[in-house]
Amino acid sequence: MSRVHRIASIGFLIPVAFSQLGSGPARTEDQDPTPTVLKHALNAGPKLRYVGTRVIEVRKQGQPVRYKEIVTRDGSNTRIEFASGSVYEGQVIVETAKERRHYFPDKNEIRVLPPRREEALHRLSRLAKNGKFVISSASGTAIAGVRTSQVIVKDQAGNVMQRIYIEPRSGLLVKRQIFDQVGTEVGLYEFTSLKLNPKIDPLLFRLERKGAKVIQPLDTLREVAASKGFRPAFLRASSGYSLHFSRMVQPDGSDVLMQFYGSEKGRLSLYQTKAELDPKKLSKFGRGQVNVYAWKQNGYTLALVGNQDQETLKQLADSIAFGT
Amino acid sequence: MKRKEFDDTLLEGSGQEFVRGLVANVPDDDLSMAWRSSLNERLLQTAHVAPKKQRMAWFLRPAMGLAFASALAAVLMIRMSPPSSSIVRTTGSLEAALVRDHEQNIVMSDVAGLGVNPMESRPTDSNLGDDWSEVDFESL
Repeated sequence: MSRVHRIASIGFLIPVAFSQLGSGPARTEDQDPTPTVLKHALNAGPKLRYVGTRVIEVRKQGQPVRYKEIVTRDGSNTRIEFASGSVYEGQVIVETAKERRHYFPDKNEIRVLPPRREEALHRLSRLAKNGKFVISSASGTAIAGVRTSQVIVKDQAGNVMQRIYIEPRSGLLVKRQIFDQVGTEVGLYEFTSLKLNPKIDPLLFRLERKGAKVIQPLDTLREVAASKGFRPAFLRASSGYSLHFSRMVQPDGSDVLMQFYGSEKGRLSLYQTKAELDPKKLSKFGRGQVNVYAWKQNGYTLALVGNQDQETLKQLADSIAFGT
Repeated sequence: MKRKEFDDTLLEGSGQEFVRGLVANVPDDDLSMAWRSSLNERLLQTAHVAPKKQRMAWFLRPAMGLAFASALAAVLMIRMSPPSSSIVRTTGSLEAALVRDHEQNIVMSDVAGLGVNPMESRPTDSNLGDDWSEVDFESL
C-alpha cells in the first residue's frame, strides 16, 4: 500500500470511528421516551431561582384540603412559609442540599428530616423508561403570567394519570395535576404568582431558633408508637431508605402504625399492627400497581407496601429492627 | 578367722532355728496360671469395648456439634428473619384501607414536592405558642 493510500485510509477511518462513538449515545437518546421539556425540568433544579405563591389541593381521607405556600427557591435551597390565616400559619420549612428543617411555632419544635429534592420527577422518568407509563408533550397554557409546555403522563391503556406544566426556559414546574384510575383529580399544585430570577438573600435559608426542641424522625416514631403501646419496627438506615414521617392510623377500628420511607430507588410505606393481615388480599387491592410483603414478627403483623418488586420488599424486610 | 567363727555361732542360735522351722513349715503350693487366664479374658473383653466406644464417639461428637449448631441457627432464624407470608383469614377491609393509605401517601408526596405534606404535617394550634399577630413590634 502506498503512503498516499495509507494516509487516505486513515483519513477515512478516523471520522467513521468518531461517528460510531457518537452513534451509541444517540441511539439511547432516541429510545428515551422522556420529552425534551421534561428532561430540561429534571436538570433545572440546581439552577432554579424564583419567588412565588402556589396553591395546593389534595383529597385527604375523601375530604378536599386546600392551602397556600409562599415559596422562595435558590438552586438546592428552598424556603416555604404560609400565608396569614392558613392552617399552617407560622410554620416554616427550609430545605438545603444537606437537610430539611420544619419549624412548628405552637410546640416550639424543629423537625429535622432528610432532603426531599424533586425525586418525583426522576421517578416518573425512570418509570417511562421501563415502559410503565407513556409520556408525551403538548402546548400548555399561560399560568401565573408565564407561558408553559405541557407533559402528559398516561398508563398503558391510555388513561391520563398526570398533567405537568413547565416553563420551558427555566424548566420550572408551574402546575401539576394528578388523577386517579377513573380520571378524578386527586392532587393539584399551581403557582398563582411567580417572579423568576429575583435577588434572594441567602440568610433566608437558615432556620435556627434558640430554645426550640430539635426532633429527628425516629423521635417522632417513638412518640407515636408509645401513644398506643407499640414497640416500633423500623427500616435500618443501611437499607438505603430514610424515614420521612410516621403516624397512627385507625382504618377498620384497628390501630396501625404507619411509616413512610423514601430513597432514590423509590418510596414505600411500612405498616405495623396487632391485627391480622391477609397478604393475598393486600396484593389483590394493590391491583398490580403496588406490591406487598407481609409477615409476622414479635407479635405484630408487618407489611411493606410499595412499587418495588416482591423480592426487593422481601430483602427490605430483613432490614427491620425493633426499637424500645 | 575369728570373725568367721563368730558368724557361724550366730547362725546356729535359737532365733535362727525358729525362723528355719517356720520356713520349712510353709506349704509348698503348685504354680497355677488360672488367674492369668481370667485376666487375659477380661482384658480381651475390655479391648473389644474400647474401639466400640471410640467409634460411637467418632459419630456422636460431630453429630452433637451439628445438632447444636442447627438448633442455634433455628433460634436465630426465628428471632431475626421474618417468617414467610402469614396465611390468615380477614374481612379484607383493613387490607384495602392500608393500600389506599399508601396510594394517598404517594399522591400527597408527589403534589407536595418540596412543600408541606398534609399526611406528615399538622395544622398549627393557634392556642399554643407565640402569637406574633399580637406582638407590639413598635415596642421591640
